[in-house]
Amino acid sequence: MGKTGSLGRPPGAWPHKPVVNDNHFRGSGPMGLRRFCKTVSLFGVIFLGVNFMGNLLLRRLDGRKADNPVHELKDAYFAKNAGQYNAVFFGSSLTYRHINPRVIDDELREFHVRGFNFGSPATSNPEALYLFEDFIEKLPPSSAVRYAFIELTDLARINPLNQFSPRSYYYLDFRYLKFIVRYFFADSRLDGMTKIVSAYPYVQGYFLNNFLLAKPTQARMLGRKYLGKRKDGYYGLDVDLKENKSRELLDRRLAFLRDTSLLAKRIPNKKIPVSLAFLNPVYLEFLNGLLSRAEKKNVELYFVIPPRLPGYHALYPLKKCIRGGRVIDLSGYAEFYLPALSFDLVHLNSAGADILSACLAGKLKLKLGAGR
Amino acid sequence: MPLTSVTFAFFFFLVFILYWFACNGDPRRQNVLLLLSGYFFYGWFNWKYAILLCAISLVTYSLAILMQGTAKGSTKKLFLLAGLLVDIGILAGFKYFNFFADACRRLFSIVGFTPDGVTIHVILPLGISFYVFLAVSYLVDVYQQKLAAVRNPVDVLLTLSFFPIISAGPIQRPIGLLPQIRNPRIFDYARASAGLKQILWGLFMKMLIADNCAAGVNAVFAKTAAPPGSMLLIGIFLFAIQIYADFAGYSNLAIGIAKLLGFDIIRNFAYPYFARDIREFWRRWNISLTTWFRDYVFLPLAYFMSRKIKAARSWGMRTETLIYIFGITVTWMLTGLWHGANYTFMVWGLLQGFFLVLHRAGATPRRKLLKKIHLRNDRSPFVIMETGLTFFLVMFSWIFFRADNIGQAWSHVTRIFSASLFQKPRLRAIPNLSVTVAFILIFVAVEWFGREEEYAIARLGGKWPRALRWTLYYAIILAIFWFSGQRQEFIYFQF
Repeated sequence: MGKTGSLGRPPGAWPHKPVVNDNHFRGSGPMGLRRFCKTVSLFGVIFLGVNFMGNLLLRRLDGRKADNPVHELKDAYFAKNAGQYNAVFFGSSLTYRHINPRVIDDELREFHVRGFNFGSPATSNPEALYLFEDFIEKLPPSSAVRYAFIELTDLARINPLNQFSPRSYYYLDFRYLKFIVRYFFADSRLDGMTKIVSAYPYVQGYFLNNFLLAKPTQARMLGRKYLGKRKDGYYGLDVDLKENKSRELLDRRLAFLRDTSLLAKRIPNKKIPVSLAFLNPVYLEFLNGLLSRAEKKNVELYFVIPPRLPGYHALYPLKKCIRGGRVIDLSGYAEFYLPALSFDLVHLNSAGADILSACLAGKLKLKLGAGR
Repeated sequence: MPLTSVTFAFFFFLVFILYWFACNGDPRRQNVLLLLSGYFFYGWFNWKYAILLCAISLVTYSLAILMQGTAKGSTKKLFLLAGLLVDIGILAGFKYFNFFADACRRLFSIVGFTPDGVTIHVILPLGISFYVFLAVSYLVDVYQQKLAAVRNPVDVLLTLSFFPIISAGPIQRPIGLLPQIRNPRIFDYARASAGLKQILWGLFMKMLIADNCAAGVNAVFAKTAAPPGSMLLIGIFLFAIQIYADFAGYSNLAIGIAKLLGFDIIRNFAYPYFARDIREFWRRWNISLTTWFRDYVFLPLAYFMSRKIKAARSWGMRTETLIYIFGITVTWMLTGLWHGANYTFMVWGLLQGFFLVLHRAGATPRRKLLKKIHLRNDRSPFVIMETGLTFFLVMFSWIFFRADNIGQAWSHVTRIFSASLFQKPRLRAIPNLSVTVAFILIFVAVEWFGREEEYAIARLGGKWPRALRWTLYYAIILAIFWFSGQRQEFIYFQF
């Protein structure tokens, strides 16, 4: 027998009698079940409703904040210096670390191009598409921006480790959710299960973003060094490593140096003919829609296919079908797959970035010249 | 799919609807649905091990029928032994083969013989330690005629595969579960709402308290870290909270889910850290496991020894005391091993046995001393002191539970009891420490005020108006999502 001191009775081995909440209706059988389901459903509807309305209100007060610290830094800087730039580049680290506006400005001097790099790490499509749309929507009529470039890649899959991170879903409204789900289900490369598995984290993210009250977070302001030396948004990886001595970057660099042969697997096989069977009509429709939105704000939008992607089957058909031929393909140049110009498996170093930027500028010059 | 996952929520929602609406109150249909759900749930982890579960269940079912059908005692015993051999043999094979192979190799190497190592690389089937114990319970209870063998295979298979409890307990013995399975379940509003509340509290404990403590514990005990004694003490304190909140939280979840299906499952935790002595602690911690070991290991062993040793005194002490010491040592060594195939668990188990023996040995002198100095043992300072001491002993023994090996455990112990205990701890190394501490304080307060109840928030808000009560639930749900220890920091892969 245990003691019955002031810390409570010792337990028995058998189940306790279920606790009865005095305020609850004591129903049993079908009646009780119906009442239970009604009560739970009512609570659920109120819970979701309060959260939904709360999020709407918070967004009206706060604006739709991008939970993306590098982008927030660039957004804030651009807002104060918008008059200096007439070309913007959106995308992931494949933009952030590769597109050097200084090189592009020099090459396109005759077109008076002055670029700002809005690229940020882990900002693949659809997030980059959203950030561009948000940018275009907020662009005043008096803006100097005339050219915009978005990195063209397949829509990214949310890594299971990031599925509960607001960064993965902060931008998801119903329109984007519908686009993303339709995109995956229209992707002819995927089997049924993979389509569901790919789309599901976005569905979950949409739910979390809209039906769970946003957690108050403090804005993280990064240092201005992430804008790059010329404060044009470009920040090479090797420069980043030198200045910040990040362990993670060093590990990536060393891992790449241990076996650079993996780079060869990233070179696209040009011998395989482009098949329109891989064209994703949902993606095409969305991208053409972006073109129209940009045109309404007098902005010429181009899509840039970067090098070193794992696959290009679904991107090359888009190149053929996007309205106005507004695609610049940088994937096929051997230089962009040289170890000497690489920082790691996915990224170029500063020298490689300069060559890529010059190549991009050259192709753009042709297009701009043809347009005149 | 863990009980805390979104996938499980969808799965259970479907099962609940089908169970109560589509089965029309027919217990046979409900049992088939639960059986299929259980195998689907279990097979989700690995379908091959679902086959193993089915095989063990069928062997258990068949042997119980055979035992019941024979009048001859020796044949009955044979069937029982066969069943125990199969069940425990499979458990031992999966869980302990490599451990014992390694132990034998070390033993042989002491005498200069170094045999080639033989190891098997298998993933331990989920919940095998739990359902094997259920199978053993069933066989022994049928043998002892406490329970009649059930002819309906669905009922027996369901008993061993009841999905709320299969992965991590509580160990609801067939003698308690089978009658519920065989009787119609009538939906009870009060039980269902209590179940929902218990699920909420279980989620709070698991996702908010345990997972946040885990982040801190992992930071302190990281392989690359060489923390001072003060940090280790904080780490082991957080581990004590983590392991309780994790295990008890999961039990609350399992019991709550079972309530929603109309089942009452054995309570598994009764505020163990409020225990005043080690014996009380083990009557409050993992109750289903400790009572299982008591009934199927300790008591049979004690009865066996008491029949064999007739003398009143043996080995310089009362026979009763000798039997207790031996029984407790064996029981706790096995209890330790049950938790994992590692010497650290064995040492942990032996420590518990040692504490219990000490407690028993000191009971009478302590009572006499208190009487002599006229001190009542229910005075608050005394109660607090005893509770604190018990918590400290348990916390100390968790060092062995957490460590990877004996050497590491010993290193932790020596560092805690060294001058580095007074070194200023690097609190910044512990992620979200302020949030974790704040919630631990809330958690302890709620547990304290709710300690008379089956689970801490059982009566919380019971007499409040609905709006206020629902606001409380809303706040708890939001807190779980906002402050859950589940990863919310974005991980940058090769970007």
